[in-house]
Amino acid sequence: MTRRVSDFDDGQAKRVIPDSDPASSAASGPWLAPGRRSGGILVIAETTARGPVRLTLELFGLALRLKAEAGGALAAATFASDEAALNSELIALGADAVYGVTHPGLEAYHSEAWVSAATQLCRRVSPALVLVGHTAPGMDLAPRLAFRIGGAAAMGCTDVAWNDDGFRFTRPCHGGNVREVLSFATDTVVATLRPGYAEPAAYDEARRGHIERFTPALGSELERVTVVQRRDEKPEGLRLEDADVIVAGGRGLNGPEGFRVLEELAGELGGAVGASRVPCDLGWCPRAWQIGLTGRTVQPSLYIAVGISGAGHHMAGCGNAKTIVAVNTDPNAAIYRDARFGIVGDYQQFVPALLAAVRTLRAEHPK
Amino acid sequence: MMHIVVCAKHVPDPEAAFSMFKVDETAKRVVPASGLPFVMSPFDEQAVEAALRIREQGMDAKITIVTLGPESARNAIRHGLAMGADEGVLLCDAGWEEADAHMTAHALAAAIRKLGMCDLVLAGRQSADWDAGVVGAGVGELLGLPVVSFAQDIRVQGNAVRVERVVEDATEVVDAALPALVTVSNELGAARKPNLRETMRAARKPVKTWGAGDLDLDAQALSPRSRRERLHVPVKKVRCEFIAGSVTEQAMALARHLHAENLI
Repeated sequence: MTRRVSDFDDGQAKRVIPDSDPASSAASGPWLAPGRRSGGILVIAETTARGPVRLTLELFGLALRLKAEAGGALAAATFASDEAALNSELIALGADAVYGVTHPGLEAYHSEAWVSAATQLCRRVSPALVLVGHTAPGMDLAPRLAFRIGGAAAMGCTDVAWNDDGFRFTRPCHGGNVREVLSFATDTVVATLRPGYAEPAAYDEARRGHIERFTPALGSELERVTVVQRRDEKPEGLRLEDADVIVAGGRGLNGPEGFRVLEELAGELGGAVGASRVPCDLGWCPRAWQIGLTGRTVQPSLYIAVGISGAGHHMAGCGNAKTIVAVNTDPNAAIYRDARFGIVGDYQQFVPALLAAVRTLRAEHPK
Repeated sequence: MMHIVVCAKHVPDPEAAFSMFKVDETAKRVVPASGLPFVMSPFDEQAVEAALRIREQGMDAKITIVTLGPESARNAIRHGLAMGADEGVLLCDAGWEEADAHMTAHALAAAIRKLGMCDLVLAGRQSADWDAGVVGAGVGELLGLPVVSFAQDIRVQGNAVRVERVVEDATEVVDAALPALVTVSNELGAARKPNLRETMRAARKPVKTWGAGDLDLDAQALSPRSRRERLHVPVKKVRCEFIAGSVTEQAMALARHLHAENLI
């Protein structure tokens, strides 16, 4: 299919329109077909040089399911300082319209600039639902955007459903021990979705949609807050979110040395090391390892929880793991309620024994 | 003198075992066991701590705690005053009994306006009961302030606040022009415990009580926007298989299970 590039009405922006769809030449107006029930969904996409991140694929998976039930169009927005915002991959993921929100001030996440830009885009496209990843930037953006557009925010959702009269948002609360289902009486709801709960969308190159540059007006926003420094603390190995095996430690490790033992096991299993909140607060391990309500949300196939009591706020970050193994000295620890396999005992003896057993087993069954 | 307002919530003790709570699915409420203590929500307590640290860095500052809740929420204010804050405002009104994030943010923002604005608003990153993390940002938006989230360190320098904030895989240092709103994350560190002297002094510190009628709030600010359709405890799908034996036997049995399921 050929695409033509035409000047957009502000004389600076360009849009790319598939030839077969003359209706989209009205793109300067609302992109929503009138009379649709849901009013459309806007996905705030996060992309890297390697393409959209996994959580963005999950946002699209959820958005496509909701679109099928609720109707309305599916739009996506990417924020960048340059042409990288004009991302046609998002059409293959299911976007009917991609808005490349482009401004020099949008190079990295900057709360004031992104909130303002997202507000301007929402006023333009009037979505009923804005889907954002439940990441640090997403958690920062969503409530501010909701207040600014007169909408509501649904934070840290594990599911969103359509229920004829509106969307229903399921989210953990009370330290991850309880689930609530919310509905809202606003025209727009901004929801953040936790990673690992929605099926990721698959690419389909046959999908068609249009791409448009959206240039927000940003001025004083950029001066109100200035980023002085950004210290990257990227883990040397695997990101916890990408790990298929995680060995995590808690208060029961009784000190920082315990993490060395866990590192050895994680290394043997090709996994990553995580932690509950207490060892991070006590400085036993980097805070970037924290898994839970206020830390990371992970979904490995195997989660080995060592010396972790299993409080709801921790389980909110790892409860979606396929198989949980719990190692604890307390046979009544709450973690065993979530675990598939339980070991009651001293980790200092058990973890090295498990390491030896894994090595023995691997020697017996070479790959 | 600099004026710092800390927004704080009174919640059932989140450190209590969850068996101390019952979920009433019909009323869609979480009911704490009778006698379970209520405390200032821990992230908010750390916001009070952050305010006190700013004062200890040599900044001449008045610290006001603002809490929305029933009469019993006055105890959260007393706790903040005993930690070292100077004044309190309790926002208490029957109309706020079921206040959602929208109503709460409007009430707090209106109270801060009635206080004659302030230089810095601090709040916990989220409350320890509903865990939403919406009200703090909302107060900032309603007051038209810059919002800096997830602080682990806050310093006031002249007319700006320097915040070290926690983001995934990085620490960011940002400067925001005052007045500003900053939300505090647990990485800030433990909040101090009130000592006897401060607790005695706290009893003499002024606490105002304002109802909805005392604040400049229109009808939409007093109407909820969210409805709780359902509240439930998730059903656990797994049954734990405890592995017995000597340490070596336990380790080998577990390794075999995991290997059989292709997990290692």
